[in-house]
Amino acid sequence: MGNTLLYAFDASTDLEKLLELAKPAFHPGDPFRQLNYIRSYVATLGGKSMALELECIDRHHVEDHSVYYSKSLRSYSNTCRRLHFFNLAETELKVAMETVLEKAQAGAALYRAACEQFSSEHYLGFSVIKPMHGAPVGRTVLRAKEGKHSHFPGLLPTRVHLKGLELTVSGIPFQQQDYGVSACATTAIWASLHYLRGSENLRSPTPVQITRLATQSQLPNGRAIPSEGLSLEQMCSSMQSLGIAPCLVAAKERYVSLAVIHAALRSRMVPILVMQRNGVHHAVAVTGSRISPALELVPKFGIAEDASSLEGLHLHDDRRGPYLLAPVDHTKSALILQIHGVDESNQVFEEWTVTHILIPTYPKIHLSFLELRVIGGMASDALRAMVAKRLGKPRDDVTALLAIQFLRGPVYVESLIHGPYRLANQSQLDRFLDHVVLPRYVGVVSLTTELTGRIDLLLDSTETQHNSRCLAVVSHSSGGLRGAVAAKFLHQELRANHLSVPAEDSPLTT
Amino acid sequence: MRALQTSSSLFAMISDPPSLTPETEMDDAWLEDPEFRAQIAQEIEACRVERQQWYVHNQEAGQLTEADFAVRIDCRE
Repeated sequence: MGNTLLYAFDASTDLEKLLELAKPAFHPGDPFRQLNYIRSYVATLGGKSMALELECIDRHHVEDHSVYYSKSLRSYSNTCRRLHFFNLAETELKVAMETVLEKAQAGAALYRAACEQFSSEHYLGFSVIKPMHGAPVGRTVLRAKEGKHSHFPGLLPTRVHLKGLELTVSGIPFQQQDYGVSACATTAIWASLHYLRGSENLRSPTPVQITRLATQSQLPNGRAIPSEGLSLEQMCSSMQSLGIAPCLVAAKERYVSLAVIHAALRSRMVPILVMQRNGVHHAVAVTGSRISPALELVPKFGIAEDASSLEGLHLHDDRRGPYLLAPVDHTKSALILQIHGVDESNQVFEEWTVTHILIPTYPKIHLSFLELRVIGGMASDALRAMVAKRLGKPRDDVTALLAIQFLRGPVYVESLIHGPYRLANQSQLDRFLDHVVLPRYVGVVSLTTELTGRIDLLLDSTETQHNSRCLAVVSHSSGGLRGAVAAKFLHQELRANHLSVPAEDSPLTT
Repeated sequence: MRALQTSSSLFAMISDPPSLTPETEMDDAWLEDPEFRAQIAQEIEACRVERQQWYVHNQEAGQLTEADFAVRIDCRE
């Protein structure tokens, strides 16, 4: 028997049986809940076949093993099994894999291209199966179900190898808590820090590294391992020890909380939510959002934020599974998420109240999300006042759509080159590139009114609100004098360094 | 609170930015008019006072106490 076995797959595939898993005698719950969720989720992705690798080394398990499982009387293996899922039937999969290998023999470039194409068309992701019957689901990266209304900005490509093929899947890693080296807090941090692997090229820490860093200087909850859970202070400490700034926000008002969460997602980060229910606190990672155009954008004193149209958040909940959709209760002032009860049918929800939002942030981003939002609010006031006064309209008739985010400088510049908000012409782009020096991360405040189009304010993220610096005001309106005049007004009002407006020879140009 | 009547058009602007037609009614000469700028400054201040609650809620979200950091996260279902 080889190391890889192929199987047909559908929603009824009994993974417990196939993997020969048996519930430990005194396990208090269902250790295979996450595995069964993954089966159902992959079925909705169109999974038709799977490959089972009988032996693979997973760095995250190996480190957990070396610190914890190797100390057990039982001989836990340091190797895992791994399931790969495909949207091809078993026989088609065999043929397709052979075809890729044949094409790939023509050279390295063709090998990569063939593997990329095969992955994007047919590969749905993988799930590491750890040699523990009480918590078998290890590092799992599956495709997210992106759609018109569901967005997952923090997805990153992960590469694995199977039978000579390099397979790529874009996702955010998930695993079930193992009650040994990691509880929900550790697992949420582990999933959240994944985004820095892409933007900062950091090696993602393993669960045991996170738990150790969190517990190295304080143990308010008892022993470190087996994990007794973490305090918020310990969660912050573990991030700090990894050179990452923990940005913590108290979730007191739903609309402020949603604005911060949405801004973090838009910034391609993976925020952590701490939630409370019946006196128990739980941590989950937010991996995406679902927008409902049916929800009205309700402005608060002239400012509308698209976060108010969030129908739900997609979560990695280690009790359940990846990309779980948690609807937002828009009738309450607190942020309450409805989560499918783990022991209930899908129709029954648990209601969790979000108490805190923890966002691991690149340390040179000194400006906080809340400060950036205040700056956005103040700039919105200036824009609304100017438009209202200039056009003789009542203030209440002028609404500004406010969106904030932190973006890497090159990512923002790229958005000016192509895409829906590219600059109007080459000369505007050239002047921007010649005159604007951006920090590694730039705070972007986007203000949109029906009269001015979109105007971006670029804030130096290495400053704080009290010493803020606006690096540029960018008008995206193609040929619109109103947008250009409004941008010039904001440029003067905010004492910004640079004004970028579409018309090259216009007297507005500075 | 008045619901935004134009929410659908604002949504449209997010994904499909409008190409505004040039408007002459908003030239930029007024930018140099101190009297007019003073009027706008008053209008801005009025906006901020009117929207004080928005700023207060934002500020409160950033106010954390020792109790916040002691919250124990340990859900074991």
